[in-house]
Amino acid sequence: MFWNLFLKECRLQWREKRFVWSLVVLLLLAVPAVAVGFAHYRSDLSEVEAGAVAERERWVQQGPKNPHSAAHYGIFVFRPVSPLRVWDQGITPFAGGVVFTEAHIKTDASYETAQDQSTLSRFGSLTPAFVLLYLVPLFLMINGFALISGEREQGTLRLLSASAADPRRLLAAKWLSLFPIVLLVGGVMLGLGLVLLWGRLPAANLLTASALCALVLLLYYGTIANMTLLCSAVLRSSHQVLVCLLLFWMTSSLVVPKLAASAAESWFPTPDREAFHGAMKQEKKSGMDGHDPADQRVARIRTETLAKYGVEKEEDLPINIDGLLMQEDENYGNKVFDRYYEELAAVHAQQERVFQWSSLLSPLLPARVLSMTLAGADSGTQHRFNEAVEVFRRDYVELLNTDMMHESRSGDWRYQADEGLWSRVPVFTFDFGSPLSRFATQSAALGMLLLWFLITGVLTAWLAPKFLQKVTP
Amino acid sequence: MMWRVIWAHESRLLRRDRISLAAALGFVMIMIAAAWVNGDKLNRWEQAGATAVAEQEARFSAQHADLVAMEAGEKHYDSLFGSPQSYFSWAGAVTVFPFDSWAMLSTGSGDLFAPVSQVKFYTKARVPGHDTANPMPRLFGAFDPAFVLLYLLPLFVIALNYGIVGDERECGILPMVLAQPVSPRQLFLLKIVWRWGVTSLVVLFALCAAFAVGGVNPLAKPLALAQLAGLVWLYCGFWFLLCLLVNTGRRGAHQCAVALTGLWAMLLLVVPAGAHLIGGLLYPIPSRIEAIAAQRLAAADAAKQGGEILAKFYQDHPELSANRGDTYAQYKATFQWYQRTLAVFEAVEAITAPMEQDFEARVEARLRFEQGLALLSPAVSVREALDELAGVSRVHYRAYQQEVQDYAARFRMFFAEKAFGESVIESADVARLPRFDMAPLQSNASVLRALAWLALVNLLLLAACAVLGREIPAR
Repeated sequence: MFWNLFLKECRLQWREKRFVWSLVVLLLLAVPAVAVGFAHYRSDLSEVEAGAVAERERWVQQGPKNPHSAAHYGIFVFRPVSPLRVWDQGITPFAGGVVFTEAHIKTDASYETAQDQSTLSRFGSLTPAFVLLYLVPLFLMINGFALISGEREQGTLRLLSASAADPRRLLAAKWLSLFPIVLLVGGVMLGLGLVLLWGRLPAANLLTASALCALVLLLYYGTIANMTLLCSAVLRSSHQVLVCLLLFWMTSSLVVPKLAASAAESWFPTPDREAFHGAMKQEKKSGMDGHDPADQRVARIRTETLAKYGVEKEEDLPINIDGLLMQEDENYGNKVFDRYYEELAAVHAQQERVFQWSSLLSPLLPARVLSMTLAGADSGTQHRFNEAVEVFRRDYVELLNTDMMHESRSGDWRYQADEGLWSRVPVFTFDFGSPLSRFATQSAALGMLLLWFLITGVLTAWLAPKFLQKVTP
Repeated sequence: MMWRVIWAHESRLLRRDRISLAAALGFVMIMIAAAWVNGDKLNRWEQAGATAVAEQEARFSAQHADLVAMEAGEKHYDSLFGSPQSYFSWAGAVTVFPFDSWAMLSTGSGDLFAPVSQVKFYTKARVPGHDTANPMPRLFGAFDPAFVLLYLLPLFVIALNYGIVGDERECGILPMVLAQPVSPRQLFLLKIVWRWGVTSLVVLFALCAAFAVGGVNPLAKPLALAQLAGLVWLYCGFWFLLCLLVNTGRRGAHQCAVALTGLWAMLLLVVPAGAHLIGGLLYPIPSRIEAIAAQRLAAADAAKQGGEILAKFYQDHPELSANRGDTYAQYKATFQWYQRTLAVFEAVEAITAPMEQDFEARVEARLRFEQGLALLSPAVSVREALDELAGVSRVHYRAYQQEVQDYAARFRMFFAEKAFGESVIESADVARLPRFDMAPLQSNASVLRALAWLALVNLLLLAACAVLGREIPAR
């Protein structure tokens, strides 16, 4: 009985023109979305790899130079490209992918690609995530809104009720009938993605990412299917169902995310970049509590160093005190940076909590966050990248200062290091982590999505059978 | 007099349709909320600009007082380090994007570029992004009046009109209506014109409320107001005529609703995203990484040939090899360092200029191509026009970037004159130090293009409705 009901629903859908049209449109969008995403990934990857190799070459072959000059010559670090970005670009166009690292200064990632794009880019990019998270739910709603209300209007619900069909089975069959097409579109995209990315990251990671992505999509589509069935059962006419579902889609996909974005920035504003960097610079100069100015710190370190080595003049020191002073300045600056960036990270975390709470109004938000996280294109990954760059900067600046400290004498600014030292600076690497570990950081988003699925599921299972008995509009 | 009967009937229907009245009220409230939210953000950005300028002027003023004291022999610095005579004490000058009061209408490109940036004479000037901001909010875009007009207004129109004919057909009253002494074409066109007029009034009222919330007097810019009203009226009309066109077939109300929703999704989501995809494929923008690599290479080469470059710099700028200041002997090495740095900087600029011009040309070509594709969806044209009216379009930010570059060149030249004149900063120099000043750019090319394009599309739709509406199936 159940399968007969399910097959009947599928057959009915296939006979609808809108179903066939929307399926064709979705498949026409899905395939180029994956293919173009892959093409962009390959070109971005080759650019980043070539850029990193050239930058390393320039660094190593910069010629003999004072280590501190080299520290100011600096190293450009390019954000690696995750193969899973084919799936979802996430925040990548809005987050810088290039960081210039040098002594004394912690710089932020810059050169956002969105800056070079036209107005069209603000309407969204045609990525697999865009098709699957924005368009497929709309398709589900358009195809499913009349599942019950349509039967009620046509009078066939009376016939169904008169049959021996269990209302819950009937509902389950209708619910399931929404999925073959979703599985087809999602399957085509995931399958194509798997084929294209096979060998580009460990098979276990690729399969885990695909499985987790499928889980997210099933929970999301399950929620949409629940809502569709619930509205179709509860509301009086198909018009009302359609209007209500479209209102829900528009609110959850467009309005709530934008409102959440604006609210997050309004309630927890991030400091202006000039003011932020100005404040750090000032604090480095005047001391973290305003009572330890840079010149006093320098004088204190000079005195302590002379005392430590038991000499009276800097020239008699076995080390170059300038190297030591610069490293001490780095250490102090790092404390200032840590404090400011921790505060900034706390503001970002508060902003993201606004998104988390807004997920109560939109199932798209947690689904999008999970999709970006799986693709390694979320703000958490960007934050980890920025931290990794900062660790790299601190390490190599310390290496250069230490070399200057031990290989030259105080006041000797003519000292020059060579390729031997430059080669000792390690190559920057960044590990995106496994999809599972990234996914685990978004347990709140997963919980929200699960909550949406369960609440809408329970409501549908509880309310829809009752309204199923109402056979007339 | 048929129009009077029809409009009076429509008016009665509207008064009794509580859902439509609630939707209209909701629309106005959403517009007000969007204006408030966007106005709040704009205030923060303007505040950041005002604070940066005030802090700079306070710093300059304090340093100027120090210079006066030094020249009077009342104050003394042991070295140039930290002294106001040093170029580095004056190195950073702020540039602030000039927001128009209408910027509360749209965020435009405002969330991609920092409202305040700093120009230094020894580094390349560029307008940075909001480096300290969380990229998440920018991913989802801004909740501003432009969003309400672009996305929600069409849905509002569709919700009110998707069944303009289909509803009457489904209720069975269409045969009775068509039995009246009025042609179907006249009847439904008159209905649409009335609803279009009422909706336009609601939208204009919502916009006035938005301006009031943003503390802006729209009448101060009557031409821009007329353009905005025209834009909204034509965009609204586009969706009304589309509703009518879809209704002219043999479809029921819910089939029309599905078709209109599909068209909405196509025009606002799929077409722009698809056009962007095609633009990216046909006109790929070269990577910034390549530009950085070229600049690094040029800088390294220039640094190695410092002496030759300095000589060439003197050849190119004979006016700078002028008088030697009194402080020459004291700070000879410092001046030489500045001279070399500035000469190398100019050499690197000259080497990388062709690549940058190529980059800009390719970005421009892509933007032009996408501008052409934007005609596929009226929403994109309207978005560009709204951004332009708000003074935050790509054109505005590109003009700002250019102005920052020009200012940076003037700023650098000021220090070049000092460095090659081999004198330190004096109190008399402070008044000559260039300050950034840019008035909001007045441009309306996108607005006029959108108005013309929408008028043409609407005329075509009207003609199609007139042809297809001659015979409206009663069942």
